Amino acid sequence: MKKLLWSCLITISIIACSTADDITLEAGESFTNTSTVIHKIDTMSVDFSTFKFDSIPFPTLGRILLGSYTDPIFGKSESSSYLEMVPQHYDIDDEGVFDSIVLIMGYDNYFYNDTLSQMTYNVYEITEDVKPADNESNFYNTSTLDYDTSILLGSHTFTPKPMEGDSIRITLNYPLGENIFNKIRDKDITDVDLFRDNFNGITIQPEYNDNGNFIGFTTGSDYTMLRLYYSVPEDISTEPQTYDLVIDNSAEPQTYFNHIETDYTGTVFENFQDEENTYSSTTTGNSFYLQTGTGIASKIAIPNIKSLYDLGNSGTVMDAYLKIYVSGANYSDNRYLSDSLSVYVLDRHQAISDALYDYAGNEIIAKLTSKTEFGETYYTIPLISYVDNLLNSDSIEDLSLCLLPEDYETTMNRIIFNDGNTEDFNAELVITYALYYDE
Amino acid sequence: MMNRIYITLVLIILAQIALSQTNNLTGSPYSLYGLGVFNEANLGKTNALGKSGVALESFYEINNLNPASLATMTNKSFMFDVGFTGEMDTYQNNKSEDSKWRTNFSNLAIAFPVSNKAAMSIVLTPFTNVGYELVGLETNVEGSSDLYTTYVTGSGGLNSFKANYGMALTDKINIGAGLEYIFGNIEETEVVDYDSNYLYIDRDTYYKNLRATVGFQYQPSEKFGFGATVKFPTSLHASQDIEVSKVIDLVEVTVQDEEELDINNFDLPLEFAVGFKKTFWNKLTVNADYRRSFWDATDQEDNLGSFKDQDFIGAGFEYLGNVRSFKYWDRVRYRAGLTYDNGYLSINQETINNKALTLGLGLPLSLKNNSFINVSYSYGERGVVSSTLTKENYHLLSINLSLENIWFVKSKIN
Repeated sequence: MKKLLWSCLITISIIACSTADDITLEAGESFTNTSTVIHKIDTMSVDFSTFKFDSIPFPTLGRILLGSYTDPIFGKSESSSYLEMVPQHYDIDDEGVFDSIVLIMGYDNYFYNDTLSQMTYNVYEITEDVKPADNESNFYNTSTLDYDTSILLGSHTFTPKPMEGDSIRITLNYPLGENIFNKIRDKDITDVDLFRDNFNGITIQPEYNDNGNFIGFTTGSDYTMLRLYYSVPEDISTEPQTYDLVIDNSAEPQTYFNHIETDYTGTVFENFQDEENTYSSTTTGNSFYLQTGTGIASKIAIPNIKSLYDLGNSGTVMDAYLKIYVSGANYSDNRYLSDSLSVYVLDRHQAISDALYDYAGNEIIAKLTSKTEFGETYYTIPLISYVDNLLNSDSIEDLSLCLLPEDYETTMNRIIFNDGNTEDFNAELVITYALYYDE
Repeated sequence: MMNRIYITLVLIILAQIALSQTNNLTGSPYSLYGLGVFNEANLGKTNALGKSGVALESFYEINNLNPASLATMTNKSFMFDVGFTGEMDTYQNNKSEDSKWRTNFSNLAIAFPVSNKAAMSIVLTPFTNVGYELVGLETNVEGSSDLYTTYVTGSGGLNSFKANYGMALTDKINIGAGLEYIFGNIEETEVVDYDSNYLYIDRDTYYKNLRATVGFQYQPSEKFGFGATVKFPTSLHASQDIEVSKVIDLVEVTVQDEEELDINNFDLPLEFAVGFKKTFWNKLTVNADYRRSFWDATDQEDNLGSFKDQDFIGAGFEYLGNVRSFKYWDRVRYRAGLTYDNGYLSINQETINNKALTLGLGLPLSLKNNSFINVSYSYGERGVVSSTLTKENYHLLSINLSLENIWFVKSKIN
């Protein structure tokens, strides 16, 4: 019996020491048809359409956008600016003698359309408080303020140099500057409220030019200001003294905005109405559109996404992306394409509900690729997380997508995308779907 | 009586340890199919006899191939058998070659008489073994020329816990029956790499059910006998835990995580075996078995292969000089055998057949009882070398400790 027990003990120890290495083998392709089958599908239909936001709130970090031109597809567009400019202090030498007032605006490198074209900017004085309309907390691209058209404060005709130039200077009407200068020097104006009682601000109205351009100017107080030049008789320096009125960039709501005006007569947008209406690409020449500043936006929906389940329920998306092309005729060096577009999620009322995020939590962008050798120009949008979200959602009407460039509120770019039914360069949605269960 | 309880306890402990060691008992890539590779290592000497022995007795060793053989167990003896295997496998296909060494538990069994004419055995063996790792399987994406790469690993296996009962109906006819509980789980992990996005699929499938065996032996004389067994078909109930996740842009996303999904049962076929044995000159015993498994009738399909009826042939020779000799080597049993089966799966019209040569020694531990160390070695080949299939060469060394105690006699001395 002892022997038997010893044997058992030995057995236990041997069993406990059992080894089992895995075999690693590079097997032939069909040695195992693994149960996972991956399908690549590029026939899923996508609905492309265009709609128009009624108005776009002016953003916190804006720019001064000035210009006009007539686009062959989008028609006439114009942008003017309304600026409140206030002193940074109320301290001018008693002996100071006003000399001149100049509006200086620093380029911020934004431009669109033909910058070789001459522009004329006219400056007028705003005649009401620079405040959003009653019941509004914000200015919009449709906002406007009264201004005195009877007195042209200044005018400047020039060829913009948005990339190589520093700034433009427009000398304004002497009495305006003198009035402001003297009241501050004489302590009639000692704070911003008193200042506002005397001066509301200026509006810059570009003259309409069919082949004009849009130019961006910074609102930074170091580059853009109303500069009052003056001298102090006892001062031996030959340099004139300056006193600046600047935009208060920390004000909330903002104290400046751009007013954007369009005329869509004769364009596909002529009858665009309520922002809840969408216009399918099939009714707008197999194209869908985007125009920043005005609120024309592109909408993308994948209504039949759940037909993926026809392949099998136990599957998952391994990759998904949407490629949308822009025809060569629809962009140029002047009317260039944005390198990237932001992608937003729209609810069923065409309101932006959120940005679109990838699984890593980063905002998804549509990236521009230009393959000039093939004449291919397209945006690629990675959509794995989005397609998963659609597949898991009961209300995909609340999950369509909207494309907008990053600073769509303060630019005047436009893009014409091809939908999936054009002759060349059709938009395509490519989904790679892995089926891991074949029961 | 205390001894019996004692032994039972030890046995339970052993069983638990053995069961916890069920991972990767084989390294065969063929264990990918079905329930894995069916365990063929058995108790006692049959490993060395071409894995045959339906007609053999359980005189001094537990013969697990036929429950009827228990009737031949010497009254008042108690037998214990534990076995281990060590396997050296070499795999080869058109692309690569690899080899591995592994050791496993192969069985644990006891047998004891219940009356003058009947005995019982309780046997724990692996039933199937799964252990494979297939790397870099490249497959075409449907509807594209893109490729994706799959890595598949499998581990686990099923166990059989079997109770056999055999009794002598007459001096010449023994009958027996066995009921086994087949249970266990197979875990398969698949990793799919598609363009640096990954899909992980982890399936853990649990199987269980009972299966019955009946056996019969007819021995017109001590030197000659027939045997037959029938294993009844059964359907192993299957349930699966599945965990699927994917890694997209380096972020892991859960796709599915479900437990105890009902999946298709796995049907084990009807199986019958016939065999005979004949002893010449009181020294040489020849035996042979034929077995057929009716897989076709189970009407099942695997991912890739189809099931087909399997034939098994095994033959063995055992030479014993003189059991009473004072020369040790005269008391040693010398064994040899051959075995062949044509497989139960057909993959791309190719079957995975298996052939092996077996050699063995039965080394007696004492003159007083029938305790042995059985050592057997077999060299075999499974599959063929081709673009699809893999040839596997294996060296299988198995050691069985077959112990007999004259239970009641010893108890008296104690």
